[in-house]
Amino acid sequence: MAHAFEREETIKGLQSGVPTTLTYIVEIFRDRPRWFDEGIARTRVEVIATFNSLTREYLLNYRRDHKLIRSETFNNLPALQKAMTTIDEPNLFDIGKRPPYKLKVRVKADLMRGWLLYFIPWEFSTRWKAARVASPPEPAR
Amino acid sequence: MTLRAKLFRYRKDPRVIVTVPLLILAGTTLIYYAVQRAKELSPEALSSQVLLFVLANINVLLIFGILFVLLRGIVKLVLDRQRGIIGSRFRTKLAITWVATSLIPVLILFFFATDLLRTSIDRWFNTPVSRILANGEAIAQMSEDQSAAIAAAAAREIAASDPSQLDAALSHVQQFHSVDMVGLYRSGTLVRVVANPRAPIHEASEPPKKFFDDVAASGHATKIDVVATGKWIRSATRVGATPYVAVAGVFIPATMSRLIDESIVMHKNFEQLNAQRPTLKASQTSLFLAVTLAILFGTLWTSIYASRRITIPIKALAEATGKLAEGGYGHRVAVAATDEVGRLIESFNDMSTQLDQQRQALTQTNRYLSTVLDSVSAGILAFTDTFELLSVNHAALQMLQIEQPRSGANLADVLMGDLTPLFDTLRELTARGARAREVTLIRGGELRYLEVSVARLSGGGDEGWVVAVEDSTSLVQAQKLAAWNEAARRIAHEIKNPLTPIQLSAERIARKFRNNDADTPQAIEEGTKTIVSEVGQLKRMVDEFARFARMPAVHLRHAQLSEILQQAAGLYLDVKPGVSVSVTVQDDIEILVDPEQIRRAVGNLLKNAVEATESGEVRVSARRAPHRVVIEVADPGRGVPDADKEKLFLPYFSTKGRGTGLGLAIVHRIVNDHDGRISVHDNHPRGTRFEIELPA
Repeated sequence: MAHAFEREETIKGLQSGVPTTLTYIVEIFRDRPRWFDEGIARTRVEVIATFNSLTREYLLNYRRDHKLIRSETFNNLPALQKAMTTIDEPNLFDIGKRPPYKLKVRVKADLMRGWLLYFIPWEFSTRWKAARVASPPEPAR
Repeated sequence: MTLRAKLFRYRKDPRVIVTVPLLILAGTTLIYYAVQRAKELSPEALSSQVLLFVLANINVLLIFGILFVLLRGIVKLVLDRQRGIIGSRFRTKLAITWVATSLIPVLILFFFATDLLRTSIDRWFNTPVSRILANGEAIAQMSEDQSAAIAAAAAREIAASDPSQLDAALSHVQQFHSVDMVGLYRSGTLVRVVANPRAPIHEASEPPKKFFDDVAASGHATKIDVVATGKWIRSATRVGATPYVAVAGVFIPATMSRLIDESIVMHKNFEQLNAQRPTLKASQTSLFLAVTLAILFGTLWTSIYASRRITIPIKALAEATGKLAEGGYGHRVAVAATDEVGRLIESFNDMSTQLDQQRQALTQTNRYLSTVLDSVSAGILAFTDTFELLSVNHAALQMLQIEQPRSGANLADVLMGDLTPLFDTLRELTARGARAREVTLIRGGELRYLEVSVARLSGGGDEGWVVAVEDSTSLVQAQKLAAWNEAARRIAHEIKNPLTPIQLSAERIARKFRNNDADTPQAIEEGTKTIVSEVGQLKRMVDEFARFARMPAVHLRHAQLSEILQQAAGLYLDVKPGVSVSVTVQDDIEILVDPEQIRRAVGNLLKNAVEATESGEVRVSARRAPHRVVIEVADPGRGVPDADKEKLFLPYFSTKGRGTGLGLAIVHRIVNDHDGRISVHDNHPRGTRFEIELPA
């Protein structure tokens, strides 16, 4: 995801120790022409960064569907930003024996919360992005 | 009992009515308490998503509650107004007024308070405190950085030492740079170390693999570890191309590291708060909003409930007024109230009771009057100006031989056929404001004489008329018989008077002729002359009688009275020497009469007056009086004795010793035909004065 840390407030918030979360929602569909796409699976990936001002380390928790998968520490901000804005997760979905052709992926990142009229929560989100994925190669026999 | 009935019962329960506002008050107090406690909470707690979620849900619930109560109240008011339920408009005004008077101040207060709060929060982060905290953190970090720089310099010096003399280099560097530990690691394992014996080297954990990976990747790395007794700052440098890593560490004891950490943590907390400023504002605004909405909800609910409670007695009063207007006398309002409305209800109930009592008294009086009216022999009819029958008594039904008509029937439909003359008479009398008239009609093949008297219904205004009908058939017949007897006596007397000279003349002629007297021709001539004269007198008398019997019907039209009187007087000007006739009358008296007959009546009076006057002035005058016009003919003649005044208007009564005695009878009849009245009085100083009153 690009431009996630362009805002100075985001960096300052992160470095002040406020837990900063990027939430990715990934959905996979089977494309059905002239009809609604068939939803196959959906997952929620959260990357939560917290700065420890005493040790000057960034702790990054990686959660999937509200379960902690792994934790990492970072000493420098660029490495943290790269880790937060890149999802490199093989085998994200188990789609069983479904034909893998015509699949679409949509990704949504919930960046942070704003407030309308100072009290109505307003989520800042990216637009849904769709991309076709190629069929995995047939396993060699 | 259904759920709705149960709810309805609870809704009316005063305990519920008291409990609900108390609960709202308690909720408001709780929120206020939470606001007060908020200053003791950490920034994380204040900006907690859970707190915001709870507040947002409370606000949403309150907003929906307000909207529900408001919409329900509006819908009920609209439906009540459409159904025309009394009191709905008053309730609407009351509720709008109360809601407006509570809504506007609360909203103004809310906007001012939240704006002040947001401004205050912004001001927190623009004070010198933030700069002091930042400087404190910078100093603390500089202190750590300095220690890290010393450790890094020591590590670099070890890495740059001769590998064959590393043991000596470790000791030299540890002492030269005053670091608390120096060591060599090979593949993440400590192989050699030199440490300050006062430094708690055993508390420092072994660096993680990532630390050595960073050293391998970038050539050096720094790591800070917090331990129980202080803080270790370790720096590492790769030793050339060897698998060794030189590590130097500086220990900051707890007494110092705590101060450094506090400076850092305090500033970071401050920064966190600053970073979460929008969320903080949101949580505070939400708290205020929750309090405001709770107040509004309570106010709204109370306003609508109170407006409904207040209008209950007014509605009951209005409904009772409607029932009273429909004739439900004695209806009482059963709603209890102790305020001014209660006094009004009490007064209304008293009024209703009194009206009921008066109605009963009136009914009794009406019954009594009906009994009286039914017992009188005269027929009584009452009707409106549009001739709608109001009442008719039993005597009238019998007299007119009609069935009991329905109330409100048109009089023309009741008095039809043979009774049409009676209706025409009533219409004429009411139109002219006259009081009495005699009506002759044939009912059941018999000639009936009815005396009709009309009077305006008492009470003023133009409410209608009441008519008294008296059957005077027997009386009239008796009067006629007496009149005929008197007329026959007078006619006999009048006829007898000329018959005597005729008889005497005829006997004288016969005697002369039988005796063959010498003066027979003269006697014949004288006798014949006498007979012819007396026969002529008889003929004139018969002509007058015929004229009296053939009195024409009255043809009323509007005429100027002065003109009529001038014409009548004109015939008697200069008729008798020494007697003059004068007319004094206003020019603007217009009257509904038969001008010919009135002229004849006044002429007859003038004729008598001139004949009775030796010398002097005969005065004719007319004047207006209430509801009538009075015509006077006064002469200075010899006057009329009191004994003759009663008989003066009878036919064939004369005080002149000549004439037929029909003149004043004709005048009397003409005046009667005009619904008028004639009377005779003494004139002052002498003479006679006739007074004719005609309705105006």
